[in-house]
Amino acid sequence: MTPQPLTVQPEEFRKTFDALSEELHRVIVGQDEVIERLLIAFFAGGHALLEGVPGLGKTLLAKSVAHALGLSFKRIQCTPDLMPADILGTQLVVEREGRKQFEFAKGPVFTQVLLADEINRATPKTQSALLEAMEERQVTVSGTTFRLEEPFFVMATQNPIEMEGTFPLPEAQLDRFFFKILVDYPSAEELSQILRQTTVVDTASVRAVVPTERAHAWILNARRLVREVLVASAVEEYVVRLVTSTRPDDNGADNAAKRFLRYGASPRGAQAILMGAKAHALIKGRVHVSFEDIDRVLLPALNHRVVLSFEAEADRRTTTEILAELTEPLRAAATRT
Amino acid sequence: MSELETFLNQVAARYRRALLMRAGLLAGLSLGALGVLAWRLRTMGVSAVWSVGVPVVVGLGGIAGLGWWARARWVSRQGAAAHLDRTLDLQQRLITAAEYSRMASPPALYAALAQEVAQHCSSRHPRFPKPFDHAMGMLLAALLLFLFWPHQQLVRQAAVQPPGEQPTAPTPLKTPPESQPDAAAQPQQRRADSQPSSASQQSSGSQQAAPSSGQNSASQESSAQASSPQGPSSTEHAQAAADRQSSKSHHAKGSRKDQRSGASPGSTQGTGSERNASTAASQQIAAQAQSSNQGTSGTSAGNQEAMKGEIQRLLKEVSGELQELQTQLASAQRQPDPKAGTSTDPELYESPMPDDLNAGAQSLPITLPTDTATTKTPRPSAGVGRPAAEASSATPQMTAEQAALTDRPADESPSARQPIPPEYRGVFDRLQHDSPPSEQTP
Repeated sequence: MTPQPLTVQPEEFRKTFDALSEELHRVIVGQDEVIERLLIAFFAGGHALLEGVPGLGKTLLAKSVAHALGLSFKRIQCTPDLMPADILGTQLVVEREGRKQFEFAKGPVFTQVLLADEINRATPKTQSALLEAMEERQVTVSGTTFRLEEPFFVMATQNPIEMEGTFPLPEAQLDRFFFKILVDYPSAEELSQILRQTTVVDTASVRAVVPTERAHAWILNARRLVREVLVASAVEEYVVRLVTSTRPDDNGADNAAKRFLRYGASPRGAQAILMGAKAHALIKGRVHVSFEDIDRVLLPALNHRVVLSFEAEADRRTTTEILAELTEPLRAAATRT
Repeated sequence: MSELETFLNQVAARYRRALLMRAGLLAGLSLGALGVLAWRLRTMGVSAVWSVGVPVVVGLGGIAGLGWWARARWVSRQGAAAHLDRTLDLQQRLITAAEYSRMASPPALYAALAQEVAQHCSSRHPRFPKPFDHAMGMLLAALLLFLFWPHQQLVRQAAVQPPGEQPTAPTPLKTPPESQPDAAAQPQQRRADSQPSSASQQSSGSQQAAPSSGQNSASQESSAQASSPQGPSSTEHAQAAADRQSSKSHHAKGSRKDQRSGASPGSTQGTGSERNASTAASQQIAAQAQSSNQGTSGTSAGNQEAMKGEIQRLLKEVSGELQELQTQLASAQRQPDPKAGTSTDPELYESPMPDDLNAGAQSLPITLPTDTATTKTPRPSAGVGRPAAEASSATPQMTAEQAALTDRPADESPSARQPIPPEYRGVFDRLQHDSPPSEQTP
């Protein structure tokens, strides 16, 4: 079996990624890591959950990504009275040729880039309406299944401080997000630059890096290239050890895992780590995955896939701290061998 | 086989060669060190079991450990790739390429990876482990130390020593005998220092006597120094024996308790006369030996015969005294032995009671008034049966009480049965006859 030729070469991918990142930085000041992780999640074929306090530019970032990639974009502002039909679409009675018939009116989910703003304000019923769309890339309404257009990328945002009147996402839905990206406050210098850029008449806007007419094909080829990245078995074993180290009920579980974790990461977490590492290797100009790539994507891939124990919450331990504590000895052992 | 595989095979072979060289060097040095150790132990006069057996066992264990060590560090092709990745900072390029190079149809990106690997490996040169490192240096130093440690003295002693005789105490390796003379040799040296004029003749005499006694030392001075750490000469033996005997006799004059806890229990078993006799005999032997030593120091072999005769005479005297002591001991053993566990057993009690206490069979010198007082009121029935009339009339009398059931309810509180004071009688009667006040709601 001869390998199929690649339409998008690694060098072209790296250059396009850099151009996308540069274009996004025209409107988003700082947040390099957030932008990099968001693009990694996109090219790896996953969905991203952005978490941060209001006013950090999460919605602007989502819109800018869609525009830079030349993809269609729709936004849902989630509220408690939002119904699943408001997202998926509904059957309407229309009169055509003198006859009344049902016709499906597509909801906002039928797009390429979907922003679900403040997703934790929607009811669990509405949140679960996104499940099938996110995982299967299809929507079933009244027994009829509709395929979603590829590439389909969901960006959801949530506010961690206003918990009143919210519905925290269930574990099943959290697991469907490829990365959970924490958006932090900008530094003082970045804040000054934000003020200079956004309080003048001519504000910057994002241009499409990938032309719209060939965006669809290019992005799909780029996603295939990411899957082609080479991985050594030692690196795969490292990923497996990392994921299994988060399981508190495992035989060789670490003390920290037993104390602070109630549930460990799922196999989907391991897939996310490896796919994210592949994309990261490509943007670093390599065609193989190294331990460094794994470490780079470990936290965003796992920090929403582990459930903290009561003891961890009582001790005010964060998921990031516990994961760092668990993976540190594994990282040291992997670099030694 | 691809270029990458060839390169990795070469690297792995170099690692293995270096590992084998290192293991061989380690084994050679270890075996050499053990061989030298065995030879040194043999020259020190240690028996063959220890001087050969122990190094052989240690050597076999070392070889087994070395085999395990080399096996644990054996480098495969993948191991060589991982090592190069680590040392050349290739970020797992080589292990990835090595894995995909074996595939029949490598993926599309393998060519790019192989090109990257070739670029990186051409610009950086791998470093291979050196077979000679700190461990080797330490082993070599140990081997040289064993080889060149000053040991002529030990060899000479081993040559001088009769084949069947074992050395009493091995000479310490670190201190040469010139710097730290033995404690037994010090008095002799002090004597030589304190008598510079007359003792020079004695010392020369003793030095002349040494070769005549059969010792094949190279020089007289060295023979005297060599014999001092090995053990005292016959004169010094006698002097030391005399010192020990005098110390024993000194201890024998002490208390009985001290004798029990002394270092020579045998000397405490005998009587005082026996001890004195044996002490005197030993002192006499020591004095004779010393005097004979001084006498022989300036005389020839003829004097030695006289000295032998004198020693024999003294031995006879000692044997006669010993026979006398044995007869005394036998007579003492004929006496009846004390019964064990009784008051006649001297071992049972520390010190016997004085005899005067038991002599008069007298009771304690205390007399109580009750011992002599007469009883005025004898008990009529000697304490059995009914008491006397006086005693029975003095006891408190109890009349039988007739029990009867009360008609009052059982749950009545005890306070109700208390007598009501007369001033409150009217109040209680009124309360009992009047009806209780009813509550009226407004």
